[in-house]
Amino acid sequence: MQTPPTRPPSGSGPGPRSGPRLGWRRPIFRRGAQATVLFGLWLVLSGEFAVEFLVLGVLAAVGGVAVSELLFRGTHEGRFTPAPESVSWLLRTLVRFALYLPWLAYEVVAANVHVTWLVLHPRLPIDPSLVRFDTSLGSERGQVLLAQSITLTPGTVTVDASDGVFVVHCLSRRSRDGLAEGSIQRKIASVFEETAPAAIVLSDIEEPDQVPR
Amino acid sequence: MSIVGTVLLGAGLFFMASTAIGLARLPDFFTRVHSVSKSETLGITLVLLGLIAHEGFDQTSLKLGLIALFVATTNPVAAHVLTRSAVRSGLMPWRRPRPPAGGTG
Repeated sequence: MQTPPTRPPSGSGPGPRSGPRLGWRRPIFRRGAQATVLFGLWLVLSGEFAVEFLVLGVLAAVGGVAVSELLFRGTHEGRFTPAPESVSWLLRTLVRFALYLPWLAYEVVAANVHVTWLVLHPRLPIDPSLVRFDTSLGSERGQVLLAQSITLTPGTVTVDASDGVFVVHCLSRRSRDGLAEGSIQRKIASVFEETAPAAIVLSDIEEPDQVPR
Repeated sequence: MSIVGTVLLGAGLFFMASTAIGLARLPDFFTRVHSVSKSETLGITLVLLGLIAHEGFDQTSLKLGLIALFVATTNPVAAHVLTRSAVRSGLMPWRRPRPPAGGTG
């Protein structure tokens, strides 16, 4: 995994934390946030606001969090949900993420039109290629978001993404050039306050033994 | 509102139809995954938006929005799992022959 020099400590992923876990990083806040999301889901799905339904919803949300704590004890602590640095960091990141989504939606629609054009074109002008590249994103959540965004954008599918090495299948020359341009990675880097290069260097995979495992 | 809903539904159906056409026309496993997993996401989202526009915004709209969210989250994962297991078992993608000897794919 490449480590950019200005990698923020918030994306450090697994590893021992220095000092005692204080304040809002205590597990109760993470569990509370999970239960709140589950309760919101309950409200949307039930649509009933009588007291007995609300009480049942709270019980179900707390029970759901308890079951997930039991099932995943020790497997996700500090790994998939590294505690954010501060409340203000979390809020700023959420705002930037919310601004990222419309941009991604536009990219998805534009690329979808391109793929539909390819598919309906009488000569089927596709030019598939399998490429790999090293991402500059240091944090695990950034890499997950990058992998999901690449796959959501039609014309490119993330085949593999582990330890910062991405394998991507591109449907056409244009999809490939769009990936190499690296705008998705730059946008995600700015969401998580990381740095990203101006372009992505892609290398072709032509034989099965070139696939990283 | 109903006109907007119909337009959205029609656009969604167009993308889903192109998904099916792509499934039939594209040459190999990987390119078909492209067709199925992508236009599908946009198609379903447009259809759900069309349904919301038809019904007006209420609690059901939130549920439909949740469906769109789940599809948008799980579709990439499914495509990723499919293609990764294909590559790991040694399947390599179809490539356009470099000296194009009149082949149209």
